[in-house]
Formats: sequence, structure tokens, C-alpha cells
Amino acid sequence: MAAVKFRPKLRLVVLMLLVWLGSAAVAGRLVWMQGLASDRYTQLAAEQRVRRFVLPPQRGSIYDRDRVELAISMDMQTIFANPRFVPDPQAAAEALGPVLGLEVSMLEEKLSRESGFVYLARKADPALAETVKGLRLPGIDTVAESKRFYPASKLASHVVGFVGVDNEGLGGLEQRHDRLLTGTPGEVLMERDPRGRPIPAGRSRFIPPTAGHDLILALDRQIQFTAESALVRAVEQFGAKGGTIIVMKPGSGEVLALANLPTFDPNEPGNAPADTRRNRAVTDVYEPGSTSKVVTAAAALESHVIKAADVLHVPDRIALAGKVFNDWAPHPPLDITFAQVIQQSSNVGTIKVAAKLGKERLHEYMKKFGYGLSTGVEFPGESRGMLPDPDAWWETSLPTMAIGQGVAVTPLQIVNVYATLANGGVAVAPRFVLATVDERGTLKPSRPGGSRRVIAEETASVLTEILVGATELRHGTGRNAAIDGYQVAGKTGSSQKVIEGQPGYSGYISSFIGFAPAGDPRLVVGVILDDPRPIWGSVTAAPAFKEVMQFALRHLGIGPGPVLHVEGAPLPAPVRSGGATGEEPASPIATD
Amino acid sequence: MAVARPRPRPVRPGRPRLTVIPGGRLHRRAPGVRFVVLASLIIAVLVFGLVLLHITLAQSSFELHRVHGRVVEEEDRYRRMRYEIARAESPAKVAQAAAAAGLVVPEEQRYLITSSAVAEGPPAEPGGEGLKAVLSKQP
Repeated sequence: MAAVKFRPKLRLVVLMLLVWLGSAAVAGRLVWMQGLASDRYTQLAAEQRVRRFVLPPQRGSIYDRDRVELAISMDMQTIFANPRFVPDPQAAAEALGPVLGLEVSMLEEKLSRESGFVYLARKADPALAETVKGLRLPGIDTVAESKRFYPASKLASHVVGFVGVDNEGLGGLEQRHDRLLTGTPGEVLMERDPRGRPIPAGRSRFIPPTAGHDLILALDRQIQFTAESALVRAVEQFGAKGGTIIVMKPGSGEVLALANLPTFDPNEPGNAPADTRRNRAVTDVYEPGSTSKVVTAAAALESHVIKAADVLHVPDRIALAGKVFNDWAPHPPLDITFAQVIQQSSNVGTIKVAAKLGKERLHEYMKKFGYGLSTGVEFPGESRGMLPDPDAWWETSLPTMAIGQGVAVTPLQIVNVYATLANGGVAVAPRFVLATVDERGTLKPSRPGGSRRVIAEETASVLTEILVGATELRHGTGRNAAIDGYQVAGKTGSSQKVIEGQPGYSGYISSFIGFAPAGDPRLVVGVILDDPRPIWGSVTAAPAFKEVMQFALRHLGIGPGPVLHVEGAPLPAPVRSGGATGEEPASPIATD
Repeated sequence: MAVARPRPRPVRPGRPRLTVIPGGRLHRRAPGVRFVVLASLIIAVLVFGLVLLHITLAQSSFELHRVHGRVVEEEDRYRRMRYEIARAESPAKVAQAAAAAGLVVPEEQRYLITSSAVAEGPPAEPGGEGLKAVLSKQP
């Protein structure tokens, strides 16, 4: 057999070709991976190593005007479990149950789920979290979460509002200024090794969160507390279903206090019925009754239809368009001045003047005083009330509306009417927020709401004197609101209450709204009670007004101010059969 | 069958005899050795320095992280203290403590008209007297 001869040169060439082919394949793959498909592989690698964490911002605090916290956020500890890493759910549940105060069976079910995450206790006390950590249970861990607290509990709850479980504003100013209070989340981007440890030299980015702004409110805690206490006493004493008290500065529109009953604790909003959480002073409407007569009077005086000293012949009832309108107590026909008509809250006298005024002008002034319009307070759920167009008025609408029925206002709207009078005829939008503080600590005063002239200063002055007479004259209906050493200008109201959802009336709303000191008004207070017994504002609401106004004047160091000389002769005959402090006979506002 | 015969070994030329050449430069070094050594040292120092800097930066970032965590803790502690103060200062608590201490809200408030300063408003009782005279009447 002949020997096979291998040529070294051929072997080398074949080997070289194989090496070249192999190298070309590797090179080609490298070009593909490092060049053409580099983005995809970079992305894949980054996804494995790079982790992004959102840093929640600190929610801004809410303060009263003295910079004491009404709402503040603090870090609590949320206890959670990764059931996939819990080797023995039953044992873990038995260990955790007594600590967390939860049923063992419920915990065991949670820890047995096919899930990577379950909550065990949300926003718990840090001490409890430490106890849980001390158990050293695999698969159980904690994470910090911010929780909202209201240190003054129910104080000003309807104004401050409340938040949900994820710290989103759900009511009140927490809702209105949610974006401002929330701030901007931050971000941490970092590379981690397979064990989860950060790689120091790896890619990283840190964007700090921007804390939310703080709100400084116009509320005065002391006046707020006094208003709430007075409201509770009045509601309990007179068996009312609820009520509202508002305290305002007429010149600036600052709301120093706003109390509602029923109320709730914003620390546990879910434990209170939903209807207790709404701010009735802003959302609920009612027919203001006699407290609205100042609007009719202002319109009549401003339009020169009548003067305060003009004498009117006033019987105790008047028939118009087939309806009879009564004064609130029978009396013989009286010749009294227009000022006395208002001071004694005569329906008949007011209707007679309104007839001279006409529906167009009455509607015009009601609108000027803010009926049917937003007050400008920019509060969630604010109602505009109801003011029908003159075209839609019935024949009885003019007398009805002149005495404050047939129109609907919120408590804040009607208190703002008196604030306008107290402010010399200039309406200022009410406001809750005095200033904000940004994340750098810079204080930014809030812009005051708009102001506009409603009536002439002289008209406001005349009306003020009339209203002082209502609290100072012997037969004024507001004598229970008089404060020793001060002149108080105010008006009582006892209006029929509309039945919700159907025509007709049932029950009464009692009110007293006034301002002091009359010569230099610095405060306006409104008290509205829902269905008290007796129904008279002079008996039920006026004493609460006195209590709150007296405290507020003292607390703010406001002196008596200049004295107004009130014109008004004593009445020739008593208008009513009862005294100012006694039980007074109920009298329907209108009968068919 | 023929037997394969090994090929004859090739004849190598004779190895030259080695002799010592006096005065030759036997220990001559390769040119540039010093430069290479120096450069290597410098590079080593630079690399070591870079590594050291990197370690320092990493340590600083850990320290920064620790300090930041401490700041967050202190801020939270500050908020908790503010919360406790606000709770303690709440008007309900103050009123409760005042009532427990026997304090009452005065029913009436009077303004005194002194000889040097006149408070505007309706004269309060006793009217027209100086402050001294009023106070001197007190037990």
C-alpha cells in the first residue's frame, strides 16, 4: 500500500481557515452585540442592575394664625409580608397575631397567598414595628410611610378637612390645596448587585423630593374653640338638630372661626357618617328670614324710596295677591318709623316698603349683596344659594323675598352681607388662608379676595344705627345679644325651613347675625341653629352670639370704639305679648 | 520487503571556539531601562492613586447617605415634638386643665376710664373715677 503523504502547508492552510472562520464569527457576534444591538443589551443589563425608587415628598402642614399646627404629617411604619418567603405561615401568624392585635386565621390566610406582597398593618406606630422586627420572622418587613395627624382633633375639622389613606386631600382645605400641600416626588436611581447591595461606582442619580407648601390659616384657635363650645351648648340647650357659627373680620374677609354641628374627627374620618363631614356653612342653603331684611332695607334706603325716620302705618297683617302675611305677633296698628320696623322685625312694615321698591330693584340689591353668587372663598362644594330671576317671580314673590323667604343662602353668604355693612358698604371676599410657606421656608402672603362697593357708606352707616337699636332699644328683638360696654349692631332671624326634596316648610331656622363695636366694626359673628325649641333667634341664637362675640373682643383686645348716637323713640305700645327673654308665641310668616 | 534505512545525519559545520575578548562591554544594559522603570512606577502610583480616590469617594457617598438618613430621622423627630406641643396646647386641653385648676371665664368685662387715657365708649361703672381711686377702694 502506498503511504499517504500529508503536506504540512495544506494542513496549516485548513487550520488557518478554520481559525479565521471562527474568529470572523466571534468578531461578527461582537460587532452585533457591541454595535448594532448594543442598545438592547445595555437596556437588558440596566434592567438587571439599575433600580428606580420614588421618594415621596413630605406633605405640608396646616397652621392656625399663631403658627400652631392644625395638621401635620409624620413617618409611621407599614408592616408587610412577602408570602413567598414565609416558610411557615401558621407559625408566623401565631407570632404576629397577639402583637398586631389581629386574628391569627386572617393573618395565616394572608401569609399563605400566592403573592409577593401583602399589607399586615398600615402606618403603624414605630414601637409596634420594632416589636415585629424583633420577632425576626422571615418574609416580614417594614417600610416607612407618612401619615397625617390632626393634633387638635375635631377643632376646625370642617375647615381643615381630611385626607385619605394615601394622603390625598378629600375634604376642606386639604382637598382645595392638595397640589400645593403634596409637593413633588423625588427619585433615586442606583445600580445594585445580585444581592441587592448598591454598587458605589455604578450609575446613580438622586433627585430629592420637594416638600409640600405649608398653609397658614386666618383661624384663631381660641375663638374657634369658643365658637364650637357655644354651639354645642346652644344645640344641646334648645334641642336643635345642628348649627353653624362664623366669626369674620369685615375689613379683610379673614375667617377667624367656623364651627358646624354635627362634626367629626379628621383623625378617623371613616368612623363618622358622610353627612357630618361636609362644611354646612358653605355647602348648605337655607331661607334666611328676617336677617335678610337688612338687604331690603339697604335697597330701600339706597334707592331713596324711604328714610330711616319716615313713619309707616303698620298693621299686624297684610293681604297681597290672595295671601296674608303676618307679623310674628298680633298687635294693634302702629305708626312706627322705618328704623323701628327693622328693629322690631316687622314683616308687614318691610313688605310695605318692598312694594314701593319693586321687584327689579330688590333683585338687583340681593344680587349685589351676593345672593345666588359664589362668595369668592373658593372652598370645595360651595353652594351659590338660590335667587330666582325677576321674570320667574310670582305675584307673592316680592313680599316673600323681602322678608327673607323664597331665596336661599349659605350661612357664609348671609354673614358676608353683614360684613359688607360693617365694612362701610364694601363687600370683601371671605378667605381662610393668610399665607403659604414654600419648601425653602419663604413666607408668601395670600392675595386678599376681591372687594367691591355694594352700597354707599352713608347707607351702611344708617343701617348700622338701626341695627344697634335692635340690640339696645327696649323693644328691639336682639337685646339678648347686647354686650356690656359695647355697642352691637345685629339682627335676629326665625325663618321657616324648607322640606328637602319637596315643596312646603317644616321646622325653623333661628339666627342672629351682628357686628361690633358698631362705631368701628372689627368683628362679625353669625349664629344659625337648625330647628331649635323655641324657634326665636332672639332666645336661642342671640345668647350664643353674645358669648362668642364677647370672648373674641376680649381675646383680640378690641375696645368699645366710638359711640353711635342711635335715634329711635320708645314704642307707643308693645309689639309683642312676650318679653325678649321669655317664650314668644309662634306666628306663621304667611298664611293662605 | 526492503528495510527502511534512516537517513544519514546531516553534517553540521564545526562549532567555533569561544574565546574571551578582553576589554569588552559584557554587562551592557538594554537602552531605556531606567525610563521604563520610572514610567512603570509613575503609572503604578497613578493607578494606585485613582483606586484610592475611588475608594474615598465611595466611602464619602456612604457617609453622605448615613448623614442624610440622620437628617431625615431628626426632621421626623422634630415633627413629632411639634405634634406633641400642638396637642398639649389644644384649647380643649387648656380649658380642661384650667377648669381642673379652678379657673373660670369672667362673666363681665369693664373698661376703666383713667385720668390720663380715655377709653372711648359707654362709660363703665364706676364712671368718671380715676384708676387710683378705683383701686384704692379694693380690699
